Amino acid sequence: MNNLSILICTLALCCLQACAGRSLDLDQGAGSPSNGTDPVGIEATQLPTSIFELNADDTRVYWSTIASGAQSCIFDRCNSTTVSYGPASGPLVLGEEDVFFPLNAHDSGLPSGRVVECPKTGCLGLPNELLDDPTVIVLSAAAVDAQYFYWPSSTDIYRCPLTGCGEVPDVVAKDETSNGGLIVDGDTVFWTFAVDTTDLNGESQIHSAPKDGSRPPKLVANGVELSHYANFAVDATTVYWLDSSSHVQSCPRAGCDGQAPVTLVATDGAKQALRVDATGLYWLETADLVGDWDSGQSGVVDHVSIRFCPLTGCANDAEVRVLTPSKVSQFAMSSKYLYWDEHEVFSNNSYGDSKQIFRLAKPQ
Amino acid sequence: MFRELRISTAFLVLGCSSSVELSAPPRLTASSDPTVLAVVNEQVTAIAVDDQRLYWLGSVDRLGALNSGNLQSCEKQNCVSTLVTYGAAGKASLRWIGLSGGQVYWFEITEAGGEIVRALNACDVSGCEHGVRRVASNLANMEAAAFGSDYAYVVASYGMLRIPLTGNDAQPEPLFATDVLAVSAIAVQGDYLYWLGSREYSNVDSTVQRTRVDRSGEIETVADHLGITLDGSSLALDETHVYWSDHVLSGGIFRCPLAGCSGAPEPFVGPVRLPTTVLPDGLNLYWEQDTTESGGVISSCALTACAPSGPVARGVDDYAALAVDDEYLYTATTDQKLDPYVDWTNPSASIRRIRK
Repeated sequence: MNNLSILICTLALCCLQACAGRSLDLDQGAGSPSNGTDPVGIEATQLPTSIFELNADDTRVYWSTIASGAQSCIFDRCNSTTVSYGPASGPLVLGEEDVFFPLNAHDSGLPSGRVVECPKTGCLGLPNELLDDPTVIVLSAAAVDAQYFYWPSSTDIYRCPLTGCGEVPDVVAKDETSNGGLIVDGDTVFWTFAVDTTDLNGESQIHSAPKDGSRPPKLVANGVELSHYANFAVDATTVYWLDSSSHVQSCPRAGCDGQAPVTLVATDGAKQALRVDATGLYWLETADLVGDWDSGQSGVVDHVSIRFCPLTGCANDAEVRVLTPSKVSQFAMSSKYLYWDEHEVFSNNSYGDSKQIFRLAKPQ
Repeated sequence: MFRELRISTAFLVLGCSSSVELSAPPRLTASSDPTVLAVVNEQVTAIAVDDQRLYWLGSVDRLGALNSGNLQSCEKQNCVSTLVTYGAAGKASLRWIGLSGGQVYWFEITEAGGEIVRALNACDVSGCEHGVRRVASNLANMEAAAFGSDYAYVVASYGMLRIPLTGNDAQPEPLFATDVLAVSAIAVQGDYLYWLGSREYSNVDSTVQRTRVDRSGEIETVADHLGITLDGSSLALDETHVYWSDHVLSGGIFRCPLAGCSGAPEPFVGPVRLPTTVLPDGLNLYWEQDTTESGGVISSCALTACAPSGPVARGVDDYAALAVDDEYLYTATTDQKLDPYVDWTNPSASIRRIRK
């Protein structure tokens, strides 16, 4: 059990200004999370080892570990409901009934190029192979809708029917790749595209195309932070992204069309894992650190937060929903909950394994 | 870079699972299958033919081990009893065999004292009774190679080199530098050297270029802004066109006139799954591609009107296990896919001759 104090800032318990202040005493928090609901609504579930992927719906939480592969459990009964799917090496993509993931070769632990599926409630026997794409060494992103699985290959954006990929997939966008994010929303696929893969400090663009590939891809936005994290989000009207200053920008989902994007959040904390729901935007943020998230993690970090901003924007006043002195590497969101992991941070700024996943109900 | 990563990965896969015998001497056995010239107790990574003989690079660990392979040959008409072993080839990724002036040429990569050593070797096609000739040594990290009648052409990490085939431990001659970051394949014909390369690590800005081998002209672009996967894509020439495969999942084979396309390249075959080696013979185009059920397969179509055949060979050993003469197609197959989650591991191959 994590014995660090956690300070949970909900709208009911903590004013925004106090939560964002660097002088905040983190030891004044609501106490360690426990397996069950604690006084401020946070819940935690224990894991045997460190996770490297996290996803969730309103019932189950899904994660990957090196030792145990892809697993899930019903969050509030995790000890008795954990199921294992298989060795995994990338994103855990959630469909209506199934979970999809890149399969590691069972004897080497290395990516196999295969994407497999299991019922969310667990696989009976081996996972069902959906596709085999040996050109993808590490799958960076993928998405699923009711009929198709979408992924970026080494040269093209593809989709396959969930009933089976066959020999050749459908081409959504030719000569396009994604360097970190791919989202299917409505009838459109959005992805991040590195402008110059030889420039490690370069920026990405957001491109989109019809799901069926019936029209060529189009440029939606420039100036997206180059990252392997999914640093953009889409809703019915708008595309949101993190720029190179870690500000949240937005444009209509049809594209900026030459207009300057609208800045919704202008705080400088390093951000990642941007999510959107009907009420606003959520993201993971390190305090008062500009620029690269990972650099921030290896430097002096006094807390990590999950923050919220209404879709109308919030300039420098993003609300803090979760505040913790621990390192947080994974953040997921369902329609009802926020999920995250925590690593204990030691005095020399190194950190331990993430052995707990936490959950907080979103205001409804 | 991509090729090195891919091979390293694959090596680890097999390294953990394989139980093949690394030191068994090469051995040929007969088969009742009339299309099988011989069964060899190794995997075959490349094939070449001349009028009399069939040559192959064999490896008991084709996925990347050093010091594990040899160049060998047999007579086309009596393969089982005419095995010749020329010498070590080492790492199976150097899949190029040259035939010129009664000599056979191959690259050797070995590890000695912690150093990776690459060299070009030669022997008389009848065998190496008088020893292996070291044509050139100290070759840098190689990405691709091709053989002309007088020179071997090599793409190293810092540019194009050529090596006189008559050399004795010769120094490679730098030819020119290019603006591509990595090269998948090169081919030489007449006065020109062609290559398929990528300007970006993302593979979506690849190009086919050419230049005169005597360095008298500029680099010309044959086709540009192509999407290819470097590891596995290939390039071939005939009298009128340059052909290349893109080795992508919904892939294709394309062509342009030798002097270049005025517009987009002509899609010649596709979509097909992960096409690799392409080989035109004047009448037909032969190619290798992947299938989910049978591993590598070879298909063909007429150059005048391409209607792809069904696979003429299944379970093909490796990208370069394809050669033709006037009457036959030659390949090597493993015919076995042992485990859906592990690469091909059958340590023996059937060397096949299939009438065209």
